[in-house]
Amino acid sequence: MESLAVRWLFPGREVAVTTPCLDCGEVVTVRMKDEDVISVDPDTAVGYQISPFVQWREGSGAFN
Amino acid sequence: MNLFRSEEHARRWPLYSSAAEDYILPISTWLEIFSGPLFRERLSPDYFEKSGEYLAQYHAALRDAGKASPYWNYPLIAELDTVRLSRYRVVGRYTRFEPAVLNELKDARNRVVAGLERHSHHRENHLLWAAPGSGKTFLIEQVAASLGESADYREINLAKQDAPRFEQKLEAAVASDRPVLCLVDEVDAHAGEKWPYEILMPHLDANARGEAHIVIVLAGSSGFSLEGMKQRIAGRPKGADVLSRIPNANHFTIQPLGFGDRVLVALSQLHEAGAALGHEIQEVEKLGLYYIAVSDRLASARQLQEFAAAAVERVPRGDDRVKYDHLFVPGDPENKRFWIDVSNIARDLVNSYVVLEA
Repeated sequence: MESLAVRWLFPGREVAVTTPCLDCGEVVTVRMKDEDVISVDPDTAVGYQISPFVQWREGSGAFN
Repeated sequence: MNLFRSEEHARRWPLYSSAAEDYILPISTWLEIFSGPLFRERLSPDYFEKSGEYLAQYHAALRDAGKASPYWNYPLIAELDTVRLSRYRVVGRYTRFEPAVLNELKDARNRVVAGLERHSHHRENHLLWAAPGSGKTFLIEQVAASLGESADYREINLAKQDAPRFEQKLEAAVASDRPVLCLVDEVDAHAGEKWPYEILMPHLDANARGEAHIVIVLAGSSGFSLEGMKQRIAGRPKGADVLSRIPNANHFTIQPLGFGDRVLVALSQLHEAGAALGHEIQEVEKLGLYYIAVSDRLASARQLQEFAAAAVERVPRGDDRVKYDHLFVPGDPENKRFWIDVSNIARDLVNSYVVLEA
């Protein structure tokens, strides 16, 4: 399950994802509960997904 | 999902691909996208029955976020009917799809041209930040070409100069007996050296002093934005003095090429290939246009030009349409592979055509 969607497995409960930044290793923390974003630390944090546009040539499905 | 402390951190990641830069989004935006039923309903018993509907909502959420990658932008092509290329022209053969980008660049072009049409006797210097691959050199070349014989064009890539050559080229530019448009590209190169801006500075005053009729465009792509590039320049010896010689109204940005721009470039190249071969092209099958716009094998202008010429050569005489199959030599597995990959989402692009007008 995608880390930012894992909250849907725990309805009504606060879920925290803590992970190292893949560039510098410093901590990124996201706290969420159902529809609500409780906090993102640091607030400049971003998510990056290698898009299927890049990968389709290697045969990945469009459903991604 | 790969998480980073900021956009700059993501761009430094060894696996970062500029082809997927549209997929850098604030975490709050990703959380909204992952609030859709494609993710929240995964445990529902009817999930697979409704997955097509959920997937469409996921695509819509990506487009609403404003940064969907080309792969998911097929609705833009599906909705195209007639494209008049002249409507999107900034200058010459440089076109942009988004109206805001188009108008901003037309205004910048007008300011550059005004400085060449009459000698103002004040500084006619410009600062241009351009996203990588957005065609800054081509844009300035096209501005120069539009002036014909009324002005000279000089292009100096600072990264490729040493001090004597840089000075020599600038001296030659200001010595011209005609108005000169001078592009100084990669203006933040040689970051550890003093000489670039020491040499540049007096030439930025030449027009104001009446020693030459010259418009100088200082251009670069570093720093992620115009502000970022200005900070880099300001931090260098004489950098603040260089910036002070560029009127604020003459700072401009070329935004990255978007999906609509790739579509426009593809149509332009097919149109020009037809004109060069004496075979007028009036319609392009939408699936073919979609392939050209998303294909990373056609990233450069030269690749696209050769590809378009080969495609037009495969169109039978008497037909004015480029079909998807004309893009490939018979038996090319790429044809089938792309179709299999997109057939579920882009079926309505088959046998549907965009009408092309010059």
